[in-house]
Amino acid sequence: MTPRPPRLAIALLKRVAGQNGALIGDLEEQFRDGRSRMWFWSQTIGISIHRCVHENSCAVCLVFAAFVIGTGSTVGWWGARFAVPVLLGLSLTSWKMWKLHRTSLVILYITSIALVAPHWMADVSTMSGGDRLFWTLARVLGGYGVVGVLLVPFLITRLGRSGPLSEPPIELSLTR
Amino acid sequence: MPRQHLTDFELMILLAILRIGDDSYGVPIAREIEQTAKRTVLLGAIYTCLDRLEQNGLVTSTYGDPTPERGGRAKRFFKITGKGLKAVKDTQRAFTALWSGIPQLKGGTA
Repeated sequence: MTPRPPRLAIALLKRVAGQNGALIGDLEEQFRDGRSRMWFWSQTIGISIHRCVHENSCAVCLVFAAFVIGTGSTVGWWGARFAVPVLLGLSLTSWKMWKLHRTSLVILYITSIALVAPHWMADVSTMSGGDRLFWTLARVLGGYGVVGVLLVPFLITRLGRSGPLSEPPIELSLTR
Repeated sequence: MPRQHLTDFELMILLAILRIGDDSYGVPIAREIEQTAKRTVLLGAIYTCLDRLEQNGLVTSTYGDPTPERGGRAKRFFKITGKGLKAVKDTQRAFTALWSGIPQLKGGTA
């Protein structure tokens, strides 16, 4: 009896690389030639991550990234009261948008903002002096921040799609 | 004069196709790179790269017949185009030019 590849992995591959039956066929062929289930799973996970990053075919991955970035930013800001984690999170998200530039990125940003926003809207009246000043400033700056956060990456995206920031094709002109 | 230059992975894939010949599909390409270049490759990365090469007209692909050992899925055979061959030659020329005249690289392995 010939070994069958893991059904769950095949289902995942169909979801991620549905258009590419040859790829799944290649994996199955190698599995039947003696590759292990571990190998099959490692290829499946690798392909899923690779496709998510390069083709933006997985909205769940984006939402997960948004959750991690948003939570990291919020916790970092809340705990350390320092803007670096937020800036880092926004930079990462901007980079991601630039790389992927698809409408589902809206989900990513909205999720990020939704996770950070409650702290921007915290009730400052019950806070002590330092906290009150910090969150008041954060709220004011946050308002501008949201606009900037939403607009700047979209401008980058727009420029990146067809404008001066668009990626060059393989063909390069070199002069000796 | 416009010239084509490839990334190392693109070059490896094109060279693997040239080495394999008519039976170039995902599995032998991956095997060739793993055996010859001693590099572990992800089949998905190979297909992403091949799709890009096909979009740029450096390779063409055709589907074979579905086979039971592949779960009823067809093989996708790749063939290098004239443009692809030229890109490989241009890249080789560029690397050779860069390689020559470096004293540290003379006299066997570093």
